[in-house]
Amino acid sequence: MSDIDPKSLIRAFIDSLNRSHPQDPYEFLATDVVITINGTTPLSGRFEGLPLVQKILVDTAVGVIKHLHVKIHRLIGKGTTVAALLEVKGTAQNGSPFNDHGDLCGCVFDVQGKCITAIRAFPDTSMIDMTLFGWKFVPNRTT
Amino acid sequence: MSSIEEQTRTVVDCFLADLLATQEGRADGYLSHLDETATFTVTGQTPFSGTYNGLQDVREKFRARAAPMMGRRIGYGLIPIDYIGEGEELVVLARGRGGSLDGSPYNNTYFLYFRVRDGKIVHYIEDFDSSLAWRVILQCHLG
Repeated sequence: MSDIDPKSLIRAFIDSLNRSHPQDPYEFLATDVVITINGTTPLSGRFEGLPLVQKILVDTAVGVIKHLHVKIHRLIGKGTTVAALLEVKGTAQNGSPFNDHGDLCGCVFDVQGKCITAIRAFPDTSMIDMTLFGWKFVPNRTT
Repeated sequence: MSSIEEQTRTVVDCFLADLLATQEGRADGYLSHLDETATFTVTGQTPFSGTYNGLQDVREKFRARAAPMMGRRIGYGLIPIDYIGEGEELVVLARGRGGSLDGSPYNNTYFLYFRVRDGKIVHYIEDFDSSLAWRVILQCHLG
């Protein structure tokens, strides 16, 4: 069986995240997938393998995100590594909409065969801290 | 690599070299690689975040606000770790070494998107850990 074009695979994966594809999102991920979320938010870190992805990253995300929609703006790359500009918006569990302005964020996918083997995501970390987790940035000291 | 991709890479490498010179305090010419009509986006929710339309807007609204808050020192700068390109678009993943005005370390991780046309950058997106900018550059903490 021939491999799937990496960009088509990524589009199908994003469709599955949006519940507009019959496959489960996990079916697109290699069992030893490595997902890296930039920053130091509670969602940030390097998650190696499906168990860590499911039990730590996704379970933590589900605790703060009620609804999520991902739109692809650009897919860039001619090989098995593809960079994406994504619009990630939705509603937090506390009811607050996030990214209703439609700002873009970066993401890089590595694809082998029919699976995504790595995702490096660069989300809006201050939006995660403030809107999803409800924190505020407070000056360290007043002048 | 096509001639368009070679030209894109050359322009981006020149931009990054001049940005390094700026971060080291040796020069301040990196914005000369932007087209007069360039769209320049800094992601996140910081006071510097947003989309600036046109070089004049970048100079007057972004650089005028951000530059005075950034430390400058030899050794500071961005180091590219991966390039993903296609045609006139190029994504650079980079690690940065920097500092605040008081010398606190500001070592961020970047997803940089470039679209280059006729030798100039017409679209630039700087995606990074904006929470780290709040904590180090803007001297805030999560509360």
